Amino acid sequence: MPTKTSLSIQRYAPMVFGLFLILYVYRIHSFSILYYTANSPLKNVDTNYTYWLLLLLQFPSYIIQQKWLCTLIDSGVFVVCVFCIFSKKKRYIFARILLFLFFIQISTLQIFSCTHTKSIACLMIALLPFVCKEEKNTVLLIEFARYFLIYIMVISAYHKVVNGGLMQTDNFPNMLLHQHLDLATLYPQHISYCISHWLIEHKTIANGLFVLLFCTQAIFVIGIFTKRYDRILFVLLFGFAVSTYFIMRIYNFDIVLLGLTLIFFKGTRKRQSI
Amino acid sequence: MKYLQNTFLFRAFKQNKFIFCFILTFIFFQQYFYSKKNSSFPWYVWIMYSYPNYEPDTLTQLEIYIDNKRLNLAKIPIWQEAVLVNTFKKYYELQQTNYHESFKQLVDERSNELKIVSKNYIENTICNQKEEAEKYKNWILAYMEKYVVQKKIHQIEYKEVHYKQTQKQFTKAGNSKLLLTIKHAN
Repeated sequence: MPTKTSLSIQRYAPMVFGLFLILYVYRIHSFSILYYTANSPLKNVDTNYTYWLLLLLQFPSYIIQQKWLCTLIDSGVFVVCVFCIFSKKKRYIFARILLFLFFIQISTLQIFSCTHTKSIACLMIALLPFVCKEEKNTVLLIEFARYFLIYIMVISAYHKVVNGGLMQTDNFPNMLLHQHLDLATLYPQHISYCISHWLIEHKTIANGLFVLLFCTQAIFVIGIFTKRYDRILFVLLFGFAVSTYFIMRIYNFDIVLLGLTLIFFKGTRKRQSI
Repeated sequence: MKYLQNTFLFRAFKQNKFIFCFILTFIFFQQYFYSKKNSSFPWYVWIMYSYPNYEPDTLTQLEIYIDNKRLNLAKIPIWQEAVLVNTFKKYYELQQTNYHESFKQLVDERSNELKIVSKNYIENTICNQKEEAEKYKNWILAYMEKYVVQKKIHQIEYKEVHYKQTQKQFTKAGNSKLLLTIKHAN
């Protein structure tokens, strides 16, 4: 007879892999896969030591030069993810393959497209729990992923205070000016620019929105002490991702995948801290 | 004591030592890279958009012209825009520094610490070489022809343009600077 935990995981896993698949299709549509970047001659690793090590092992340089291998890895990620959705007994094996393929794919892509996207880390951490065979370990890693999400949000809010962004008058309107110069000069009818332009003209509202954004991130600190408000936090997180996409043109949906950990745990009054 | 037993790390320690060590290692590296302000995948420092932004006198923008027509970056997917802009920035940086990577000194310092692998191997593998940079023009031309405009391109120009905000309108300030021209071989 299936336990309560196993039922939760059986419901949760297809949600995670399903959303991952949707985001992956969006990536394909946005040319963010190896196939399109194949044969790129330039790499950019800066001081990213993980990428240094990978380059020393030579395989990203080899993969990017072989278009067939790029295609194989890209399609491998898609196919294995589909298996992860439907396979219940062997899901942990497919999840391991998926995590490995995705790590290879995304590392190679980021090195050779000279573009380092921070939120990719969220996808890795969100998929990690499913590599465990035992359900109790899966639950433990889902909880770890939840704490990682809380860390991201809280540390981001903390830096807005210590780096002075929050205290600066008209910081958000100025940020929007910098962010949307291309739209202002070329495509002013774009929805992001229409919203931003209105906010730049109504600075009080824009400043208020930036404080609201800060509060949305800072309030995640509650999650360290209780899981009671997880669903509210998930709604806030989703709102954060959607609004940053439409106002700032920043893609934050990878964090939403990690945010699914907030709806895994049922509300509890139990006090739990890291 | 009961409070301590209820903590996540304590429960992880009791449940599975391997996972507990994994989590501790992850936290250690996260804290280490955070203290160094270094972003090494999958550990990152989440400080984006936290610094003050001031109202600028002029704004500078990188513009791409394909056959003398400005490419509307807002109409292409954000990742494709990132590829076009970031790979160019890398190429331009290399070109301006005579193909000398900005972090080459750091690579040298680190490779001195690693005696087991030859210094040249490390340097050649991590840093871009002149021969690789020289392939960039052809690659980006082919990329734009195939995936951006889907037609043959005769010329691509990357320009640095300054804008001034006057009466809520952006107007070009001064002459634009031509950074790179790529012409089709035929």
